[in-house]
Amino acid sequence: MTTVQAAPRPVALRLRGLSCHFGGVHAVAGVDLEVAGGERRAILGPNGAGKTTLFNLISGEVFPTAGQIEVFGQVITWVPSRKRIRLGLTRTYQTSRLFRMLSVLENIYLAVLGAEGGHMRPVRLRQDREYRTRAREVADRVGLADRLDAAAGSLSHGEQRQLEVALGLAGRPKILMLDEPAAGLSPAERGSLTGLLLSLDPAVTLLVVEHDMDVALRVAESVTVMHEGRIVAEGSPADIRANQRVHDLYLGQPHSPSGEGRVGA
Amino acid sequence: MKRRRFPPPLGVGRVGAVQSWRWLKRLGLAGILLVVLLVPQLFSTFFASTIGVQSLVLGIAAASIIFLNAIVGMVSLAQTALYGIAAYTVAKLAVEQGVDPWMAALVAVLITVVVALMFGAVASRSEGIYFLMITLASAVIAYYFFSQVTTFGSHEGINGVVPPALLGKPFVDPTGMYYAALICSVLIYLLIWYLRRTPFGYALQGVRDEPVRMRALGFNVPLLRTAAFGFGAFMAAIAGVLLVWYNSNISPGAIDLTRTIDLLTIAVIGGLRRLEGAWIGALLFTIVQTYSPKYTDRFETLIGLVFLAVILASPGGLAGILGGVDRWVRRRIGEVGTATVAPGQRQP
Amino acid sequence: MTLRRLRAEIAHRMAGGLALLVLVIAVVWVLARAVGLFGATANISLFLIVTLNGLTLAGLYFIVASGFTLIFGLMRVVNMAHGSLYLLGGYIGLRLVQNHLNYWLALALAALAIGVIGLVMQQVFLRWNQGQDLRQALITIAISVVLADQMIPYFGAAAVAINAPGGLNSSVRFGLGDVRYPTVRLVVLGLAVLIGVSLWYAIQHTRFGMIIRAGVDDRAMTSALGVNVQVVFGVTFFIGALLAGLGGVLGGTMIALAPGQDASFLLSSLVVVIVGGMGSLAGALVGALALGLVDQLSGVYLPAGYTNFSILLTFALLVFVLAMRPTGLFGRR
Repeated sequence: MTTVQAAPRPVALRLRGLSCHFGGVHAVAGVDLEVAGGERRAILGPNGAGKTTLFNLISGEVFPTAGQIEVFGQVITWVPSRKRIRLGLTRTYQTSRLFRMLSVLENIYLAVLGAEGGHMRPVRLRQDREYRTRAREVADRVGLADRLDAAAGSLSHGEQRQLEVALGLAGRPKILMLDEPAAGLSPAERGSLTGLLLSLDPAVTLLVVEHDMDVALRVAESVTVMHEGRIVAEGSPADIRANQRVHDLYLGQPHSPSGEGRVGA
Repeated sequence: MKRRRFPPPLGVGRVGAVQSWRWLKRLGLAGILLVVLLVPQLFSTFFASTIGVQSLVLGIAAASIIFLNAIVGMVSLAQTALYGIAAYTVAKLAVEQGVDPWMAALVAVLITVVVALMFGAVASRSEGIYFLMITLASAVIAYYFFSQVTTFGSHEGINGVVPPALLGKPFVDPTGMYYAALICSVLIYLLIWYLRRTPFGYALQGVRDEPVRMRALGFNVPLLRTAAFGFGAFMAAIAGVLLVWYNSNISPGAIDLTRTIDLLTIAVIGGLRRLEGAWIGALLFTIVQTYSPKYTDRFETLIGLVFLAVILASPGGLAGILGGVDRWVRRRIGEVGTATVAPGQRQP
Repeated sequence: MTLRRLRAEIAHRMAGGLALLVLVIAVVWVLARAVGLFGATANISLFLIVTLNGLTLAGLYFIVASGFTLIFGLMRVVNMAHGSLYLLGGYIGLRLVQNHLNYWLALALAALAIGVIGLVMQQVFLRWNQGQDLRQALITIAISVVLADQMIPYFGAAAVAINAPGGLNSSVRFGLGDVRYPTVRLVVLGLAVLIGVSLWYAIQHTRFGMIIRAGVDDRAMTSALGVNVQVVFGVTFFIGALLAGLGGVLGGTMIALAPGQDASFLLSSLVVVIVGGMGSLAGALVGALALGLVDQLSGVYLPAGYTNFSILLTFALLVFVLAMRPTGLFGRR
């Protein structure tokens, strides 16, 4: 599907010259990225391309060695991780990080609580009932309405990934970052995930990191491809599908050495 | 595995068996609670005092360890040092300054919590085994502090601490002391039961399960851990106050490494993941400690071996064993498997 | 942007800054008093003796703590029984010397015995539950309780010292300040240096050491590469325990042996490793020096009437390092 030129949307996320290296390895090197509000962007790339590190930089789990991050025009490069949710930024993880000993409902309730604040409160108030209702709604959206009381640790892999997404949605984010949401899912599960993502509020900016091209290309309106910490291609899904360099990257053929994307050994 | 039929005592069929087991448990629990309530009336002064009061007070101290581990995922060995601080504060104020015992107790709890919050602020950025080591080191340092600084009476400690008139003399008539300890135990148990279902309680459990995600969700993890540690100190302080009133004295020997490990032993034997285990473990410990000298001089070896056996065979401790028996029975009589968790209830 | 980052970092460091201030004041105070300021008579020889006490104690701490950090660095086992192994080693050495065995032979045998005991402990109790940090810590705690309690009936509750071998019974004269210092303590310091250098060499330049370094970095990968990690673990635990036992005999000669010493050396190992960083030999060196010097200097140089608060300076050291770097000066997660 080709993108249609619409009225210019505000820039939700902007990365300028973002770099991050750990002990000599440039996980992310000089990344410039712009994502508009409400855009559905997929970030693709082979393993080790730096996609997850990019997410970690945006969500504040890791601080960059150079560059700048802006969310809705606000510079947040050094803002501590826990304050970023206030800006409407939520993320999910490649390997599910669920609260295993709590129930599905309690998991999502915690995510809502985190976004709404007031979590040092040692008393139950009316808000908590509202939060639980919200949690139920989110659980319903991701298809876990019948598993509310199940301990998160006892869910099947597919259900855990569903809960992962629910935790990302619970905070009513403005920017939702999904790290390999389709990892390990069966084709049917992948289908319902795609359906869920397509039905998201159009105002929400969606960033999906994927190793697997299928889900990503169906949901995305634009794609960024990374390799060895750098962006090597950007465009619509059709452009990317036709891109020979990307093709070579995924099939492992050495592409013509151009000095780009080569990081120190 | 042989399938044996479990004959239901009342009623027929599966539903009858399930109901019967539930009633049996409720009756058993009611019976135990009744006995606990009437210990001073049912048992000798010696038993009520030495076993009864001590089990309750040590139970409160052990509960602080279990609370921190089960709810927040922090294993703290500093609890003995904290109840030492409370005990020494009470002793110093009451004996040397003549302060009213209740006032001394209040000040002691406050000081202990403040110290714990300050320490917690630094220690809360360490997780897991590191935290255990830091609290252990601090506990031993606290012991050396109290045994070296002369104003605390060095190795003698401070004697002559008199409990408030309301509680009476614990070795003459333990009734007052016993009910005070019982009330404190019950209140603390109920408080934690309530706290667990509050936003604060859920946040702590989140920190236990996934601290990294909690940060991303917007929670201040070090602050939560510090606050939890402060609450644990509150519990330990209460135990310390009761303990110094019970013993009428406090000395470094009450908070040395052996005692620190004894408290951990109680928590582990009772069950590190279930709050009830604190008092169960304390009861067992106190009984063995009181009656084993008839058979052997080496009480610590005995309790150490029990500790080892529990860790190797049944890490859930006695409470875990009881829970396991319950689950076994329920499976036998056909009740549905227990992978579900009711909101607000935690699976051990 | 940079200001915000700076503020965030400063907020974390306030507790550490305070502790650092205390330590800096302490150092200045000590040096000043040694030289004769603040109302003290200049006493260089006292300063020298106390500093040497600190250094030799640091040597002993290093020997014991290096074993502790080796075991943790590779196997992530916090060996809470380390203090008990120290004391047991001392007592075994004591018995051997009392039975007229040559001191050095007794030293070697006691160290080996403890090494074997440690190995047995690891094989029986720790081999099958690797990765369960808490459980293993609890197991070693239980073992330490049993060991400590069993030593009392066999070795008594009174403090005893091991007699130093003939040649070491004297003291060495230093020209500076006309100081006489017990030779045995200097020998311990020398041994500590020797052991430190040997360990460093073994870890940096031998194949076995390389395996240890790789294992500390990434255990799963090392195993996948075909290295028999179980053998490596066993040997490492053996060496770690051996060092504890060795330290026990030396400590028994230098200081004394008594039922409280196991707690004392467990504490010192913990502090050295918390300060220096887990799994780091350099960290153990720095930590041992810090602890030994703070311990001895504060015992003498704190204002009169406050010398019994010296333990608080050790605590300040601990707090300072934790506030700065929760994983220790040379540590990594």
